[in-house]
Amino acid sequence: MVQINYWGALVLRIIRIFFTKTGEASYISHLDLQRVMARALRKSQFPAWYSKGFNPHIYMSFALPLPLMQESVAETMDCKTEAEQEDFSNYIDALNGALPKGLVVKKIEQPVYAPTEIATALYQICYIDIEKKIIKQAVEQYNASSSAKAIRKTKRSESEVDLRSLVSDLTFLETEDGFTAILPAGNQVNLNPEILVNYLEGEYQLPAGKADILRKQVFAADGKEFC
Amino acid sequence: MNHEIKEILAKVQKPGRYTGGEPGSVYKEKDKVELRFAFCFPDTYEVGMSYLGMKILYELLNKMPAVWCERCFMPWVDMADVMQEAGIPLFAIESKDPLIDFDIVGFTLQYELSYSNILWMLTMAGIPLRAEQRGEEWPLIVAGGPCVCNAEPLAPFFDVMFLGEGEEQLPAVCAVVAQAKKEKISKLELLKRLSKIEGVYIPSFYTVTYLPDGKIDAITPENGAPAVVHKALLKNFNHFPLPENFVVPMVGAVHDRAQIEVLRGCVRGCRFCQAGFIYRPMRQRDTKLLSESAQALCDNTGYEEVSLTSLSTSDHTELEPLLDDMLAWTAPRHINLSLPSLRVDNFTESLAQKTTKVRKSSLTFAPEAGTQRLRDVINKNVTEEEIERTCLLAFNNGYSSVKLYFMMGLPSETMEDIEGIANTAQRVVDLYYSNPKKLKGKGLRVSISVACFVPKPMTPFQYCPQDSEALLKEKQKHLLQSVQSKKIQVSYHDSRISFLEAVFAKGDRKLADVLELAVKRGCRFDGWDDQFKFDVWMQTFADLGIDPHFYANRTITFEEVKPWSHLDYGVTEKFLQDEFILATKQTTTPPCNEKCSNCGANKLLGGACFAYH
Repeated sequence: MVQINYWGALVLRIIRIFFTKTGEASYISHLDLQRVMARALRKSQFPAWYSKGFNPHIYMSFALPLPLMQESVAETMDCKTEAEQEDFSNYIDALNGALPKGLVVKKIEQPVYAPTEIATALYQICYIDIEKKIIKQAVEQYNASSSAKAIRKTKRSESEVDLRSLVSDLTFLETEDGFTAILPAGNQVNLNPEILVNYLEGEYQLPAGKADILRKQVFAADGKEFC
Repeated sequence: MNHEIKEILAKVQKPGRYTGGEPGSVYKEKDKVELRFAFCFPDTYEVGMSYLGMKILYELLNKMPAVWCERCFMPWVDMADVMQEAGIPLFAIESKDPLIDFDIVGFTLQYELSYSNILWMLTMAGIPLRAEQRGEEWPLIVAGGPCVCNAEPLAPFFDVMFLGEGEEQLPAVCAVVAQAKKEKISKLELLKRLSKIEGVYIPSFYTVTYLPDGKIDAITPENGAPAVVHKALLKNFNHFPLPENFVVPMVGAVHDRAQIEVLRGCVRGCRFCQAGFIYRPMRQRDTKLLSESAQALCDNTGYEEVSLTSLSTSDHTELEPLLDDMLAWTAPRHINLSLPSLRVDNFTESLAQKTTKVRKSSLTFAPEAGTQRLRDVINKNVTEEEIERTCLLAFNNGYSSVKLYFMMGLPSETMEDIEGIANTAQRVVDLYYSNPKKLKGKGLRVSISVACFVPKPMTPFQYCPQDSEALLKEKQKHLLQSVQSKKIQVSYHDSRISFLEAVFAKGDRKLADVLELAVKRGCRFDGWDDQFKFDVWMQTFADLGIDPHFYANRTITFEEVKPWSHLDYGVTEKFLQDEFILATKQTTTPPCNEKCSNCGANKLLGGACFAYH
């Protein structure tokens, strides 16, 4: 994460930007998100490192890309910098002024974990206009079941997965009309919560069209929050 | 964003078109403003977001603390259908509030084929279509833009139309409407007050009567309206501030870039061109203002390309100094300068170099006609030699792709002129391959785009009929047969779309019934090949007993009253008639900054347009 040059001086290091992606911003595709972030970094004059050459571009890496129409309060993006300061929080306001509605930078810090160390993510799934007891019942039935087979589609193939082996008990939320679930995440095993939501629709008639998916936290393999 | 909208967004393509929230978009508190304005663009988000006029007026209106201007675009067919099914009315994308919550709902009339989308948007908003059906409780429905010079087919649907430039007109109108809200006056009283503002046209204050043969008998004003409405002109254009911030779209960002309007109006007087005449007199902007505004715009938006926009950018007398000024700050920041609308006859070596400094794009020129004879008829003062010289210049500067625009169906055109188009393209190809300086290994791409000529009001050719569909098809076939080389790519449009455009361009109020019925029968996005329903349109004309050929294919006499006779854009009818006669004699008219030909637009400025030597 830190590059040292021949003379032992600190040259290039990675900085992690923590942001939320909610509301209107959940309709920004990943490609558009990259463009939007790059523009905001340029406009706020954040000392991000640009590649050399005729067409300099910024180095950006998103830890865990978020599917379209899902919201998140736990997004991170890494970029490189040659600046030596410890604290970049003075750029937060300028960045937020340049970002579209729904994208809000919360903090800018030195990274602790590498994105490859991500193991799980906590999702909150809430339903609109669905009776609380129906949701509670579905959660209880899911938790009581020993297997939950669903089809997982990739670009080239379809495979069957047993959700119960990947997603342990769901936790019903009294106050939110929904539940939370911990799903595997990262570049080893990644499960899109949409599969769970579609499964619950098929099995327990919880309409997927009325579900709002929010990624709340991301965890490293050691169980600690990814940061 | 409410859940109903969220649910339908999950069912459509590119939902980001309908969500708003882009960087640069303006959010105000709706309870704290006096007037809410919905700026409606009757085509998709992607098309509307490249329109500079909307960006100018959006910033201008939102600078007024008492006004909040929001945007609304025509939803694509999938979204329109889903919204109708879910019972969700058309909304502005910032607040997501339905259009009926606004005080003024304004449409920009960019081209005639967007008229069906306008009625579709009003229907989706739940707003009664006809002005006479709307009382004080409905928003004021207004229109601006180039087609207002003859928007008579839309007259029964709009309360107010704006002739000419909006920078001073629109804020004045907003002030009057805000005041009227406070006083709670009647709609009639409000319209009377608005009619006093320069450029404002109240269609309902004019009665149109017809002769037995279908032509207009008279256009009679009432309620104190003037016999002729004069367009609004921004006299202080040269020093009028430009927008320094744009809403930056996140969806469909293809040719998205910063734009600065370097001049308005045109001196060339090409006889087919409506824009060149209705925006006269030509005024050019101060170069220091342009460079500084462009810089602020790039700082605020982060755009990496600036386009110097106008009808004929190379006619700016200070263009080279402007480019030098701008290169000083754009080159180090890797910002590309783009010059669309270049003229063949003044593209110089230094212009070529300045625009290729950062990134090369393809060059576009518009000879418009294939023979010198026809170019003289249409007053496009460009010679064969100039076309060749310019292309050679482009090739020597590394361009290997040239786009040439032509039209077919021009007045007095023969098959020889059609062959001329192919010959011109062929000469360009030959020139490239005989050029010893050309880049090795790079093949040439010459693309020619041939549009069907549509006679437009307020031009010398307004009297001309459009070629019949059969003749246009024959000419297209002849063109394809005349093109020999594989290096030349020909593109042209469905002539039936151009036919409908011609009908509405010179249409009168009788067409309003046709428009309303065609929309009811499902016509929308008429400018889009895959959405255009020609048969439905023709059936609708037939069912209502209106002959579309009366508008598109009839020669208009000098004497008859035209549907736009009560609208004045500066250029006199006498001038247009003189130009028409010169066209029949294949005689050209010089650009008006070289020699004034008394078109009449100078009366709007109160003096000569240029300092003649």
